[in-house]
Amino acid sequence: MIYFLFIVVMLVGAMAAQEFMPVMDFAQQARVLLVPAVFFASAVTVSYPVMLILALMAGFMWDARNVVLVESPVDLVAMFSEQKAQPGTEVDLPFGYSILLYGLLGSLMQGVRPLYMKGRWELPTVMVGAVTFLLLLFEYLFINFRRGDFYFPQEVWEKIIASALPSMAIAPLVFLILSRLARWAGYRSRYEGLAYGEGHGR
Amino acid sequence: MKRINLIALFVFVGIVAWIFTFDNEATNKIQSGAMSLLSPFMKASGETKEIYKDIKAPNRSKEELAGENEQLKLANDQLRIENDRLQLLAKDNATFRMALNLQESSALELVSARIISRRTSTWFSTLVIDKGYNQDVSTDSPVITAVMNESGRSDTGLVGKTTQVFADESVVILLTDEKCQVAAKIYGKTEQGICMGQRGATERTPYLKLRFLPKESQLEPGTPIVSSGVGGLFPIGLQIGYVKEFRRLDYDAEATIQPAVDFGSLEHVFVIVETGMPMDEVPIIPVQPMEAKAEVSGLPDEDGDLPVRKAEVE
Repeated sequence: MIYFLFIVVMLVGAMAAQEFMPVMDFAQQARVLLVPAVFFASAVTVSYPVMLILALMAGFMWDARNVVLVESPVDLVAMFSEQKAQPGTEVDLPFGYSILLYGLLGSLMQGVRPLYMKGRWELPTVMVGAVTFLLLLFEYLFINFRRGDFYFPQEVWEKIIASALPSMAIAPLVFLILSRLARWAGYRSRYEGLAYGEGHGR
Repeated sequence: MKRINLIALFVFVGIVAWIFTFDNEATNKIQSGAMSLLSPFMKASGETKEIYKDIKAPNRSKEELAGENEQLKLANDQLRIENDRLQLLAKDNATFRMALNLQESSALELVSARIISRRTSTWFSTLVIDKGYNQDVSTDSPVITAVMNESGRSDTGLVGKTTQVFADESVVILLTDEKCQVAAKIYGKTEQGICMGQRGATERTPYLKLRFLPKESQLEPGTPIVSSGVGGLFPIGLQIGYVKEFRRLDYDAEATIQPAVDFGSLEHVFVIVETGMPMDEVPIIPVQPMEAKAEVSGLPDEDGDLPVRKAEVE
């Protein structure tokens, strides 16, 4: 319980620290995504139900800050073309999308939990980068889907990769902090397995 | 899968499904709360960046600063004169409208705002300013800044529009975002189109697209593009940018536009707010200077002084 509270505090701290993260002009204005990095790293250290609770909290916080609602009182495109007018508020990424993606990608992270339990951080570190890449890719795909066409310039790929790599780079530091916190809190990560029934996956 | 995990998954999916049913009002309320909680961090972040910029900036001599100050004073005087002239014209315009029995147009007021956070979302070109509905900013208010045109004169450049307005902060969607669409026209000509950003654009490639131009249009690189006022959201004549490339398509034509505003170096902007008062009743102080420590609104009192709405003592 104390360890869970530590993770929640870390997520809130990451949310505040995210405001101080500068954009990397040399890398298509990518940023270090602290909240996803902390969540994905934490997702390996806790059980599946706790991971889902963390996904709810992290996704809710992320969307509360980052979802953009754009009102279109006049549909200009319809005025200049033969399309049907669709004025109103448009939301490309609806509130709650991050929760869903965090839950989905956190489940992927749970797959490397046995390795983390054995003290092997290499693959979980790579996975933090990989799921951050997937998170941004899904977001961009969703925007494309909502806007009705698929447009993938090279800059988009560069930006996704440039955002995922720093997340992967800070993952060992997050794992280190989490392991120290676990020790203080007397929390011992125990892999219960995903298979149904007693004795499976232990 | 273990039973507890299955139950947790079902509960999780249920909660997510419930959250997806939130309407815009509920989303706005949640975001307003988040904004007020994170606002101190955004402001602190902005101040830290300014301090870092000051440290990085080369030290200038006293003489250089005095010279710059002199130039700024001159520019200020020039703008005051220009402002007075325009205010007289606005008054004349209001009088003529009354004489012609035309519908009275609402007066526009500029509210200066500082950028406290920029580009926080990965896929949207947005920034956060330190003015919200407490300062009369409303959703879809045009956001502008001063730009230099090709002849070296100061002009009004379009930055974007407010898209979410909270108590003391607003989110501005920039012109470089695909979602910010502006009815535009070629300066000095009648051809019109829609100007919008490009998906995935960055400050390295911040070009805009001017679409739906008539097929017979002929644009040369460097041609200025301004807002046309169609749709009623953005006032007419705001500088959008300059033509970089022009292409004829099957049914129409489109151009790539280099924005007039340097979005990367923006620090302050102005939000155009509607006062709701007819033009001839509005006090003549439309622009609040950046240095002003007090914001004013309303009609002047008997002594001609304007009421102070909110004093900012620093």
